[in-house]
Amino acid sequence: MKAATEQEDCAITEEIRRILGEHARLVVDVADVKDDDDLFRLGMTSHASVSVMLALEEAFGVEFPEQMLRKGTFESVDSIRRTLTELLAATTGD
Amino acid sequence: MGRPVPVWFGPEESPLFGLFHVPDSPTRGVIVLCPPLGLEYMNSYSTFLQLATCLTRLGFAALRFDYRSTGDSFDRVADRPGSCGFAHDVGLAVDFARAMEIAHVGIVGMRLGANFATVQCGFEPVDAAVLWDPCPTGRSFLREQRALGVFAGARDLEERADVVDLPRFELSLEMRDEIAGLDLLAGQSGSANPGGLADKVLLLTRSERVADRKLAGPFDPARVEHREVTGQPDLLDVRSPKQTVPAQAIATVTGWLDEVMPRGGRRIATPAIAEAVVRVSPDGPGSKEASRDATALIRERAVWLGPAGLFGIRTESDSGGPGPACIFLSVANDHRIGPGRLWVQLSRSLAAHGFACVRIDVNGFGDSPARDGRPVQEVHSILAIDDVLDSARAMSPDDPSDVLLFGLCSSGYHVLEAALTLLPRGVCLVNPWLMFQPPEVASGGTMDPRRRFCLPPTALVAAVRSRPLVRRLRRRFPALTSRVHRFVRLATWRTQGSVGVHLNRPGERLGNLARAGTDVLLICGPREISPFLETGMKPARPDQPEERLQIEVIPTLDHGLYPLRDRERVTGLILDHVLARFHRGPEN
Repeated sequence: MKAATEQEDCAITEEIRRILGEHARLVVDVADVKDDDDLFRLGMTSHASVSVMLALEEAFGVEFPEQMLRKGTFESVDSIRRTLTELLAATTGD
Repeated sequence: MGRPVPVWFGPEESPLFGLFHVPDSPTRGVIVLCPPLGLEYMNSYSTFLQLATCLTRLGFAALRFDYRSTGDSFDRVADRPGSCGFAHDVGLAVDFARAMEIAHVGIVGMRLGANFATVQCGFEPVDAAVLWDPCPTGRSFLREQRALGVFAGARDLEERADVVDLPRFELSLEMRDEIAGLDLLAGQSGSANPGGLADKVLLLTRSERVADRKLAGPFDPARVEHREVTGQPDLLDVRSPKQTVPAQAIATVTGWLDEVMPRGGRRIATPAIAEAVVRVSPDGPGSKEASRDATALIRERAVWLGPAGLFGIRTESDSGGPGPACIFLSVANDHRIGPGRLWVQLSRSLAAHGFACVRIDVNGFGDSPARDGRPVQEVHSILAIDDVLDSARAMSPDDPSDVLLFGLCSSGYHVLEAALTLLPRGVCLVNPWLMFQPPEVASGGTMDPRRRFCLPPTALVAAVRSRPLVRRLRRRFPALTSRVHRFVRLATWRTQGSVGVHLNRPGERLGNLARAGTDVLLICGPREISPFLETGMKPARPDQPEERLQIEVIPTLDHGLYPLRDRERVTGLILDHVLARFHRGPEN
């Protein structure tokens, strides 16, 4: 069970990184970004973060609710994964 | 190809402004161009200008216009909500096009402009329609804009009850509801019905957004051609002045219209709608409840100033007083309206108080041509100083110094440089930006001696900053490296000054300007005030001539005035200052 969750987390992280690579316009290669690095400090602009948000919603079939539209939600791979996990759990009723 | 013809059309109490491009050849059709809203409108302004120019080369006339309460159009009248929708404004533009008595009319709408066009064309089909990167829903647009405001750190924590505050523009609740009701997939009036929208439709979606492909779903495939285009992220998803005109997408649009619209046609008479005369409140659009006695009639007309033919909108009232002329300069590579229409609202308010005002496009931007031989779109061009001087000569030919100059960011800088030559009555500067590398230096030359306020990075600082290790450190520790940079910058300036190396000292020069008789209002945030404080600006003393120097430092002021609260604060400071110092109305 735990292994399955870890596998899901890995898949989510991989997808987040793919989306960041396509939309975040970072000044470094996304492969060099650590999970807790501040993406805004790595060059992600406000416009780019909106593109990331839309791409995440499309990829995971979720919508970030109003209260989650905060800079903190999108500031690192970790924070994005945490929020998505929460949203996906709410969607599936886990 | 001649200049576009400025036109005003629609209801008398709140006319829409447009620029009508007419081909030299017989006109085969009129194309109505519906722009996006908000930041997307600002970012796409040059794209629509280039699109209109390309269309005229193909024999089309093209109408660029602003919806009411946007751009240079007048504001919606609050007590007439039924006739005020964005889609209704598209209808007014189509009516204008049909009044040219040309048989064929087409429409091109980008983002929400495409959605508005879809609603309007459902009632009144056109020959051909291009829906360029439409929003799936109005709600999705509002969400994106709200998120943008949050991520830019520019949104108020508390929502306003009376207005929706979006980055650099605001919507009334009525406008918000209209936008929130748009849904392309739901097949609103006409959007999905064969023949309801247009004989032929081109739907352009972003190649980067796979989900947008579903937007083609509701349309009749026999009438709709769906293509994907590139370039929208570089046009719309970047902060000005980094946007890039999508040349390939423009070619796609014009090529398709050329193919589907009938050929042949006839010459059309250029419409002559020389000015708009409108009753406004001197207190601005927020005071719609003002009685008729508290309003003033103002006139707006288009002007081309000076030898460079700078485009501007002149605003004045019939009962104008003898106060100095007010000149508002376009900001960075935006056009003349100012951030969130700040210049439009200020010029109308000041005109209602009797001042003659003009808001102009700096050469190479908006609708002004570039000066001969110079590249278009050079934000810190030295020639913009000439733009300020030419505008002053045009607005006040007997005494060009009898003017007030208004600028923000790059145009705040240009106002400062021009003021040293002109010694105008006054300058109002919002977040003037002095620390940049001039284009002539970037291209290997030396700094133009007319730049007396510019503080370019020193060669040493530039060399250090370009080192890979330093670049990595700046990315990892931006706050710390910013403090170190500030320390190095200060030390460099002081060292250069102490050994007699030439160095611009904008702080001292601003004081000199005030002592020479120019009234100075400087409104800025902490980042923008620092180069003045670090180069010799002294605090004002009431018993000294420096009292002409009013400095307002607002700790939370956003550089580009994204939030409404910043625009309201700046508007209030400027109006209070100008009316207190320069108003010569009958009550004075």
